[in-house]
Amino acid sequence: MTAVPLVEARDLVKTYGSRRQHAVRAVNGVTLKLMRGETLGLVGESGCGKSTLGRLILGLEAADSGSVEFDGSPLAPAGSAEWRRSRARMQMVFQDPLSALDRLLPIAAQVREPLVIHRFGSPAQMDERVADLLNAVGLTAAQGRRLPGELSGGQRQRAVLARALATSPDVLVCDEPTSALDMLVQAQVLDLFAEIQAASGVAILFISHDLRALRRVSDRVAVMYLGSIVEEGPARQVLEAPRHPYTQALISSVPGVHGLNPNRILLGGEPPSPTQRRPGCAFHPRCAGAVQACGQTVPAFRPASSPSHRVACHLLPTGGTPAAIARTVA
Amino acid sequence: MHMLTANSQGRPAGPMGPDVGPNIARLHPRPDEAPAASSVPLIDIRNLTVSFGGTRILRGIDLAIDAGESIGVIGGSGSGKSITWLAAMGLLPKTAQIGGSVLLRGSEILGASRSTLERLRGGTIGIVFQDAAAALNPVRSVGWQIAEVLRLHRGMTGQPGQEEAKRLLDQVGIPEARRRLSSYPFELSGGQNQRVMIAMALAARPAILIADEPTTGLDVTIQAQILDLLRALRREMGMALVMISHDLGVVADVCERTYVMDAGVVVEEISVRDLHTSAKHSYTRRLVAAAPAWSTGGYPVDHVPSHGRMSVPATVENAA
Amino acid sequence: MMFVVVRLARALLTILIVVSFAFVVLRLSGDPALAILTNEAPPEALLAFRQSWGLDQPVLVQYLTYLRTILSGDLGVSMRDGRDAFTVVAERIPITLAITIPALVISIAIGVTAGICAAFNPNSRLDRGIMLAAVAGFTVPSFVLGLLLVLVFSVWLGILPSGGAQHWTNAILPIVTLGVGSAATLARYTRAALLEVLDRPYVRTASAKGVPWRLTILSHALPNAAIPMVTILGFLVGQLIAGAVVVENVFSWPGVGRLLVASVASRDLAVVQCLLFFVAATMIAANIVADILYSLFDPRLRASTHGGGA
Repeated sequence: MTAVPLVEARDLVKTYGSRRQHAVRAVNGVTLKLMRGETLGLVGESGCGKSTLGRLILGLEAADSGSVEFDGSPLAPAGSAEWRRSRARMQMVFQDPLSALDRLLPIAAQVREPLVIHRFGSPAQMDERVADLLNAVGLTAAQGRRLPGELSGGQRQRAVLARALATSPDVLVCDEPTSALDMLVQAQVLDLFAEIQAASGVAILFISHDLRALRRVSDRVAVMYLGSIVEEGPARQVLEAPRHPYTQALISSVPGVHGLNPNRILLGGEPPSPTQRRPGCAFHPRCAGAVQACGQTVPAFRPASSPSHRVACHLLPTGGTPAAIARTVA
Repeated sequence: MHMLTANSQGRPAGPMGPDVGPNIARLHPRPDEAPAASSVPLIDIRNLTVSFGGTRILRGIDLAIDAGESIGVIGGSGSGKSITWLAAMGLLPKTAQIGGSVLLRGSEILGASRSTLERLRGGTIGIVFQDAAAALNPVRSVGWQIAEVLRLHRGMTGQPGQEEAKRLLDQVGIPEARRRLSSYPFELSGGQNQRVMIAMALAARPAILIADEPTTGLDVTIQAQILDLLRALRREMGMALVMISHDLGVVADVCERTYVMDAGVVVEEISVRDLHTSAKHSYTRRLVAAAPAWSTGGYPVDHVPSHGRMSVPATVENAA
Repeated sequence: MMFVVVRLARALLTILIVVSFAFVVLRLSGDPALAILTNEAPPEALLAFRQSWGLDQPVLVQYLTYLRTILSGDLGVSMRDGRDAFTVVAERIPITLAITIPALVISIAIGVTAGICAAFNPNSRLDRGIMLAAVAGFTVPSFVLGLLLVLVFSVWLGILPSGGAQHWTNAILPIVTLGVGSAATLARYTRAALLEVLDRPYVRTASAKGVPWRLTILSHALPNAAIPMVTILGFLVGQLIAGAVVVENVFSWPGVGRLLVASVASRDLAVVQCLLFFVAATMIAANIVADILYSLFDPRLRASTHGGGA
């Protein structure tokens, strides 16, 4: 592993709210690498801090501590001229395309806008580029002349994607980009992500609570719980053979072709609030296998099925199954 | 067939209830219908059309559901899967042009009188909408909103109404139900709001529950809890269930049979069991292909500590 | 606690700005001695007047003296009739309230009802009629409306007095003139707020529960629409006070509005300042009432002022 990561986040921490009893630690020491040309899926339930993490990585918000390096050098502070220049290389796609688009401006004009801002070239070159972009996301020239309100949800998300790709970014951070779409359109847009990545080599941080969407596009997957990454690794290994009890519970809750798995792992209660953080592993209050250590120390990352598949769980020792350890300790 | 507008009072409906007019014959017998063929379906929708200002949204829907049955309605956005039921209950704006027929236990309810419709809505037919946090009134307490249904449909007021509302919250699995009666929707999580929505829809002991994308936007673990709840409630109360969803997995979980809709028509009616193996219509096959075939959704559970199944009571967090 | 302190400080600052504004405008725009004693007065009389009221001092000294007396709770003495300015104003307040309070109550009753009726059936003939009337009521200035009413009811029909305050019938035309503007404003706001709320998913939920449409509007939509409507309460009170100044002069109604115009004309600083004080206090009170109403209507606000939800 000699390759330099395109984006590297180290020990990011973000806390909201000043008063101690109301402080919400949304991101609690996250370290994450995004390699060139890969898609990293970031999954977690609502309120786990995954969207905040996305904004920290883009520099849209400043972290309390920790660092983000982009292409080997630290990210310029938000708002600076250098940061604005770097924005052309990092783009964001949100869940609701209608609120991300100007309702009164034709699609093509909005795709063209970043080209004008970042001084792409002559007007003729821009026109050509806009046509190419619309074509790449599967929109016709006629659709490019329409207003956002005249397109379907999937078409709008394609338009947002075309605009995000206008400046040939190196990184695309997508926050729930397909969650508002129905299955069929979702599948088409997800496939489009994969196609565009194959063609342009853009690195994608794909943030979603939808494991099935994630599975369709991700090369690697990181699972987030209450502000921390609890499991990370190649998509196949994490999604097909999850080792963290939380990941196991999440994946077993995905309805399959015959509905829910009758043997799925039930999690008690609602996802916990980041205001009521307790010592030890963030997941231990809901983990049926929790042992004494789980409530005392935060588990460190350890390799699981392969060196690149890492899990932060006390129940996962080297050379034994968690179940075996759970029995020994209990 | 007659065209009429929603809420128009042009045609008074017959009396509601199980006494069914003998003149109603099944025009569209379903192919796979065996045992219930002799009885009249609970709801029978025939050639239902809806248009807005000349644009056809529904182009002749035929579907039926028997008492106690659970059916799915699968389709993408714009397929008309939700409009069908809003039209049937007269909940579309007055600008909607509605045609065809909707029979409830054999009596026409399309264009029924306002009082008849008000008795049906929330009474015989309960609805659960998507995004419960927005579908609940933000300035009314949860208890008030449930009690309103009890007052309108069961004539319960005051203390008995509050007691029944509390029982309903218990039934849908909301902890500390009595305290929650005075909570407002903004004080509850997304999953809890959806449970409140379900409690409200169940309050009048409806014969049929229409669940319109009840788990869209919820996290998978919460979605699974809501589906478990719906399945359990249906078993307990013996009511019919319509699950409207774009998610085949969700429909497969709670339904036996499903309709597949596209662009305002039913393209296929199929048993959920056969959905992945013998769908005939190309649209259905495309839907099936789009839903990632994650086998059964079941995962190697051998990694799970001790008993292989982690069931943690909701109170564990408070106890620790 | 912090909230109350900030609120109070802001109120005091508002009053300070208002009285300073009164001082600057009145003292720099003309000589009270000339205004009260007129040009014909002998120079010695003018000099004596200026000395006794401290008008011969530098302006800055006058300003500081002025602030000091106000801070000590002394609102000064009317230059015109030598009585306590507060007494002069206080005896006029009930007279003004006698027309503004009925105007407010009636305009709320009529305006809100009209707004609800309009929203019931948007774009119906009733809706269009109500909105046309509201636009008319909103745009016609109150002095024009007042004169028009006098023309019709006093001059042509001769059934209502055109001015003065001898009998309760004298109050009718001023109340109507005052109320029309507020009612029109309220009707438009009520309709807009209701129409916006009627589009919300919970209104559809209410219908799906079998709640009759009328009840849906009254018990589901209206409580939600009331939240944005509270915002215009302060505006409405301001509109009424401004209206009272005009209307009282049109109808010779001897309230604070007439007093204000007379005092400004004679540069009677103490009285004007006392009046402005009273107006500012009313506006602040109206905003405090609005805040209380907000938390009454909106449980989300109630939770945040009590320090966190359940």
